[in-house]
Amino acid sequence: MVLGRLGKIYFYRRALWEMSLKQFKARYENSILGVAWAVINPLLIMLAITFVFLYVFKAEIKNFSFFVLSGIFPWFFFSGALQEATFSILGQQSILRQFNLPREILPLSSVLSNFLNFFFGWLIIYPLFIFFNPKIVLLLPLFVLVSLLFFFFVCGLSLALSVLNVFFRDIGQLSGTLLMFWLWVTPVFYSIDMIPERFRWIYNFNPVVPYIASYQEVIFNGHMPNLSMSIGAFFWAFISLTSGLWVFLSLESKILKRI
Amino acid sequence: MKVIRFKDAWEIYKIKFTLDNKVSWEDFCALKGISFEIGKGEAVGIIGENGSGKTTVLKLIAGMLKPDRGEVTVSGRVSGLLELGAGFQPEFTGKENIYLNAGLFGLSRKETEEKYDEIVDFASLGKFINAPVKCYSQGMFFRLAFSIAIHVDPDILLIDDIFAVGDIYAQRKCFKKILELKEKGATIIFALQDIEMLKRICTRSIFLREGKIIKDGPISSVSNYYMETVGDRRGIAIAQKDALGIIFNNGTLALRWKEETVTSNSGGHSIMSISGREYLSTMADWQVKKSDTDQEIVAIGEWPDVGVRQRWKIAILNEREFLWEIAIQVLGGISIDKADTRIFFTDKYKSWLTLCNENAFPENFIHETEGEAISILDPDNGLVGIKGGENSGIKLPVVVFDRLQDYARTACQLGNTGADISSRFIHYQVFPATSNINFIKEKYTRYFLSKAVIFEPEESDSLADYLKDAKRSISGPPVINNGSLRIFCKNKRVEIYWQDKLITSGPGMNTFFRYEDRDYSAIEGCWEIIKKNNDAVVININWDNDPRFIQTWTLKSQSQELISWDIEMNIDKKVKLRNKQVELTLCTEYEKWLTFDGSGDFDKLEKRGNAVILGKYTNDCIGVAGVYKEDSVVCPGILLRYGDEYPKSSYIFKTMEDAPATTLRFVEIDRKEKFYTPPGNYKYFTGKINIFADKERENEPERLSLDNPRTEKHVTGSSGKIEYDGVTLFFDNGKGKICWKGTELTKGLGLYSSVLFKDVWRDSSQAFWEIEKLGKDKLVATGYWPYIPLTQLWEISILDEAKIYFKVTKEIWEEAALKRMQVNLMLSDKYKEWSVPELACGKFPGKFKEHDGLLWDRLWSGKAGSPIMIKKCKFKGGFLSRGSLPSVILDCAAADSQACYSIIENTDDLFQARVLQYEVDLNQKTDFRNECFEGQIRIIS
Repeated sequence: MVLGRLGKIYFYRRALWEMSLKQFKARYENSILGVAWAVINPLLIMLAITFVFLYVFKAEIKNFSFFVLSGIFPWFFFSGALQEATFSILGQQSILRQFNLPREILPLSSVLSNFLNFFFGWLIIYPLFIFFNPKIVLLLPLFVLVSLLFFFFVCGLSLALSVLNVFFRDIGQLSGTLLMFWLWVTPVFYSIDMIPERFRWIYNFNPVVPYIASYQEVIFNGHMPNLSMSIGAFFWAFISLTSGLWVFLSLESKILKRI
Repeated sequence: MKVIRFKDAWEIYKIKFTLDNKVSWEDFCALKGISFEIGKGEAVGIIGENGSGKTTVLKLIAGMLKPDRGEVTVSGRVSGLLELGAGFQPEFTGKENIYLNAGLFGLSRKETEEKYDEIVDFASLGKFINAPVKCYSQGMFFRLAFSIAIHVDPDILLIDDIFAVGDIYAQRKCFKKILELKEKGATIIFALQDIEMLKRICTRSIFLREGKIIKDGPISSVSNYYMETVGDRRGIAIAQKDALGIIFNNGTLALRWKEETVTSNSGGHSIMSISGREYLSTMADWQVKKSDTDQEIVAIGEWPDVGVRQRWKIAILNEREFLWEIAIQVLGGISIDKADTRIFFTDKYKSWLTLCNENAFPENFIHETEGEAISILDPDNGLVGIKGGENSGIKLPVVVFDRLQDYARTACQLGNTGADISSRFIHYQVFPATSNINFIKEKYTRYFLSKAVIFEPEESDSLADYLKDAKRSISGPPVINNGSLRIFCKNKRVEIYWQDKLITSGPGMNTFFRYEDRDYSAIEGCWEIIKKNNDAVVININWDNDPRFIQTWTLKSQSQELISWDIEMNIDKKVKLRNKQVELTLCTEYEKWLTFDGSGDFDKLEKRGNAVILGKYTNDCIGVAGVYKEDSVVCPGILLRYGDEYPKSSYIFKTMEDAPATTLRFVEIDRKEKFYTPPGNYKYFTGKINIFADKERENEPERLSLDNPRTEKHVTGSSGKIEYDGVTLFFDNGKGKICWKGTELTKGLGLYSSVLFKDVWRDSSQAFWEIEKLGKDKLVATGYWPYIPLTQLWEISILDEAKIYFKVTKEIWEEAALKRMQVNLMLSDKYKEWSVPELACGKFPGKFKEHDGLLWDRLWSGKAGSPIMIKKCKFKGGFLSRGSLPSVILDCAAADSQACYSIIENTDDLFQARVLQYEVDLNQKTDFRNECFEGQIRIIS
């Protein structure tokens, strides 16, 4: 069944692409800076955080701004994709009423359009990191792999949330705050080494950690991600995608009546 | 190849109901186990009221819904318009939306580019194609959406009811495109309200109601069924038996045969004219009362603004016959001028038939809105039918409307309606005022009853048989056949033939009576004819009424010259029946009237209105003399006589206009003691009709009577003679003939009285008289007036010195508007002079005024004077005869002398006599019994 669904999604890849493109375009429609916003937002946060951490909390991380940037940039993709996907079905009911599409295209296109955004952002930021640490070029394949795994992870989560939000609108309400909370419990503004040893196990249950940490390794430190992080990234991507699809498919027929 | 397959598909929605802050979730079944299959290339219209599940079906086909139970399989690419604007990105331009939508349909960019021009061209948006679609008008939206939907080469095209958004031009264009798609083999599924539009594209239709398939079949059949059953559900009922189906829908009747509707437009409906306005049955609020069997529908419709109700009963009798009855109940004080019943049939019918005729309908509908009636020769027979033609390949059945006998006074028409309705119509018209249909308050009165019979077109033999039977029941074989005499019972008429010449006219034999404020006549009742043998028949006549009235007529022909006519009446309670009449209407050829006492020409009779009436007799034997042509009989002489004990006044009259006829009528005189008719059986009338085709006997009714002797009672019971001292008075049925020494002084009616009732003078010779005492010189007699609840008691005695004393006492036994009463003395025209002693005197004119039915020639009138009886109000009719006629003085006093006048008149040339009168103005006095006149007639030789 899942394979059949994937086949169908593949069949409708054009639609998926059109939808993603549409959303991507819609995001910057009528805005002057356009796709530059994909970079500006994370940069602004980066500046703010750098200021707070370096000059207020006096954190001692080398090249703190770059460190924050390497984490905050994937996080922006994560939170943006998740938030849009959560409302993708509710917000685009009309499409479901007109076209017999595989319904998962809606959350997936949200993720994809954010991924595009993410991609364009990297086009600008990645050269910066190369400038800062040229040897990361060698880790480019790993960087792509991490991005793909992260993408799949977000896809799975988005599928589940998009359909759950149809039934429990609370999810939509909660998502902003939850993501804020999640941001602070994820080592984006600090490195995982800074966490006291006794709390560090908790971080094993935070599925975003392996991806953020991997990005930080691959882009900022120029190291291979460690084994546990690599396994974590694969593991969570798999769990998220399967459970997300399962939730989606089992609730799908009911969504149609709710919209 | 089936591209769509529904197998017991259920669709259940959970709906949140909030009532007073209480939330409950309830299941709503949008579809309840639907199964159907649609093959490739079919065009199917889904019809149904709002909320019947049409859109759900479309959504299931589109894959936007999944069935909760059952299975829906769809193969092929589905495209369509289910919701206007769905899938459009408002901020995007038309062009971008085309790409987006095409992509969402699954078209590649390349394919889209290929189609792009076509799509834009069809949508004809001009430069707007590059504007954001949020700026589009509804029509533009529609065109773009439709253009995309049909240009993506769908295998299945779904269109929901959003068509109305486009203008006519756009719709037409879309239609063309859809037809093109259909040609290419696409499956098309429509859900439109506009049935006419559906009919142009679809061949098949599925009718949904409340989530179930009601009908699935050819579009014309299903859509008709839908149209007939859409509306307020309280006013809809369906009766079905085999191929015959009847749908009652809020004042319309649709007739279906083998799933095909043969009626059109509003089908069968009724129209009432009330004070110049028309009220159609479709305008009423209807409620089906009973529909528990599939065979009968009873519905009540009310027009609240006029206060009238109708009750329809539609009953299927068998698989090819049904009855249709309409009754009216009047709630307020309104009168219905006209009550019609009309049935529209589809214009596929080509010809019509009646009992005697058959022809084609005019080909074209010549007027826009006005109908074109065909004149048919026998509208009275009430049988009309339509036949011929095909409807969607099915031969239309022959439908015959056969009016049942008991409402004979309806005329029927048929023809073409105007072009707006384009139907054939059958139209029954009833004029309640002239049809004697009295709409009684709070009671349903039937005005229309018809039986419809349906024949397959190939069953022309059974149709012919039916018509033959119908003819027989209308013209039928004679019920009595005896020598030259034959009697038929046709459609509530009794027709008497003498040597194949119809000598009756109109209803032939009829009875009337009055109960409360309504007149009943036999021809309004329900007739049941039971033939006994060749010379006897029994007719049961039943009035649909409370109390129940049933008359049983027994007609027997002892010989070809004698018919006995006995009527027995059965009533279920004690009632006050008035004006009981029997009537024999004959043809107009008759020229001479005939009674036991004499005969005369109709030409010379008094003319009242358009009739000449001989209504001055209380005679048990009235008739007409035969008409002969060179010794051979044209119309035989007829005598109608009664032989029962109830006295009757008799009328002979001839009407020339309206319904020309010669009528013989007996009216039973309402006598006080016979005021109430007891329940049970009683003899209403016993009579005989003599027919004589012998010229010799025409002037001898007495001899005729001798052949069939009159009952003694009627001959002697009302006449008598008293005499004394040279004065003789013959009393005969309210006429007093006075002789002096063998010479008659009176003429015509002699001594008589008359009374003005409801502006008509009725004199004592019309009343029924009974002599109570008859002495040598004294006589007491009672007279009962017909139509008037009046009795007069006459006491007459002859005194010494050639004086006749008389006293008239009147008695009214029911309130009646009596205006004036007179006592008269009609004297011979040999008298030439009159005088009123001490007041006036004069000569009678030599000529008589020509008879015109109006007042006689009044020579003198004056107040009768003071109340002293003999002296006052006395005048002297001084008649100085040339020969030996003595003078006569009428000396009279009235109880109310103030209102008493004395009058001297010359009659017209009918009586040619002199008249002395005393007249008293009764001023509608309510005295029930009083002495009116007391006086003397003095003869001075």
